[in-house]
Amino acid sequence: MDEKEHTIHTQVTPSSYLPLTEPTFYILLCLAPEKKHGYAILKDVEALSNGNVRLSTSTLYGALGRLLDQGLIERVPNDEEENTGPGLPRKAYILSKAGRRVLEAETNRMRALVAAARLRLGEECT
Amino acid sequence: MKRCAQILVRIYARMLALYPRRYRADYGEELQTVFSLVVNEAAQRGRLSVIRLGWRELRDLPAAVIREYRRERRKRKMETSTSAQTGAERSSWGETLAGLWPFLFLGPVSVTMAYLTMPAWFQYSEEPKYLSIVFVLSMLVGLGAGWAKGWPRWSYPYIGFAMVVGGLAIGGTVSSMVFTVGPEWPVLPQVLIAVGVFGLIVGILTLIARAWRPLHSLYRGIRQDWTRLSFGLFTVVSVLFGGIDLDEDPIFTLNVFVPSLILLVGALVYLRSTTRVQRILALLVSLILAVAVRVIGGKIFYGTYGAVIGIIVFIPALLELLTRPAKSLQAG
Repeated sequence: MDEKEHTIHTQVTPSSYLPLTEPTFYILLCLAPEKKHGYAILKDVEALSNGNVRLSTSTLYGALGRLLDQGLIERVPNDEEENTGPGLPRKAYILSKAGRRVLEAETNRMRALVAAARLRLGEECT
Repeated sequence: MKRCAQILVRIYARMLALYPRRYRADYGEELQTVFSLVVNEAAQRGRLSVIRLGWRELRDLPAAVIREYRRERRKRKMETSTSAQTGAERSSWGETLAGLWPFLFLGPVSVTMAYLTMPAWFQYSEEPKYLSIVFVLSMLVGLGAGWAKGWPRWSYPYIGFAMVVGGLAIGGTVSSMVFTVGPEWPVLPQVLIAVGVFGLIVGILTLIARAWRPLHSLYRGIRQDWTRLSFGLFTVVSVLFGGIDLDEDPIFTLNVFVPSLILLVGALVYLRSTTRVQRILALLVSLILAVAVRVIGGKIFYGTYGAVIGIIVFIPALLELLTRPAKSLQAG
């Protein structure tokens, strides 16, 4: 992504991307600590969701493409030793600053939802 | 099980052909690699896992393919509008051909047909009537297509031709009203009236384009790049210079054919250029050459015509040069 396009995306407020779909949230979440290649993202999303979200490759790459267009993630060479190998993808994905802000905004939104639900439902919810 | 996984990977590789070409170039290899890893892992877990995986991929594929085509179309639209905004877009060959058709017909086709259908040596003939009908229809189709596509660069000769027709109608009425009242007028008032009539038409069209929503894209296109208007007006040159004079004889056919060919090349270079300077030069050089050939061929008065038309054609281009800083001109 060129600098100009990236600047445009970062000027958009994080709340304009909310609410995120479940797969999108998990993808951004699994990229939060470090960069990952496609296969690692698939596995991590499955693990984070306790096996509830299993993405097909087409859904994963559709979401990655959209997130790249929105400037929420970046595509970088997969050059770390443990991630490289003959059968592994040569590209990896990393959360951008804008992506991190969107992820935080979504987490805050969900936290507020949970807080509201707890307030009304009391102990049942905890 | 390993064989089953290999077959699935092979089928998947084939199915990738359903995606848009640019998407395949960007992600094709990666998708295939990731899918192979997923399949191998599923194969280790058992047949049911492989079936589940296959079903999941098959289920999501149609929506993914449609989504990618839609995204591709959106991207292309954005790229086109971005390059159109900077004026750096280059017309495709299809668009170039569409933009050249008025010049091709008014010049080489018209001259060749008139020559071929000439009943006898030294006797002038107009091109067959059906050709004129085809031309007028193609002009209407070009105008319609230009309108539908938001008036891209190639459509301006069609607008120019419509302006010529309008100009001739209004100009003819004005001149018949003015020139029949007294003795023959000197050249200067005629020139001033011609410039005035064209200025009036351009002004009225600009006001209509600004006020009427369906023509907003035309107004925006001209404001972004004034050379477009020059290109539209350049069609006038082709009409006047490329067409065969009624007093022309076959000896001068080449004298008519060559300028029309020069104007055609000028239009071609204009459409394929990416900077405003190149575009203005393409129109200017071809006009000067076309006038020069006509003057050398004995039609001295084309020098005066050329000067007048040149002023009319290049006023918008001059505006473009004056309103844009030199740097952006270089950038396109």
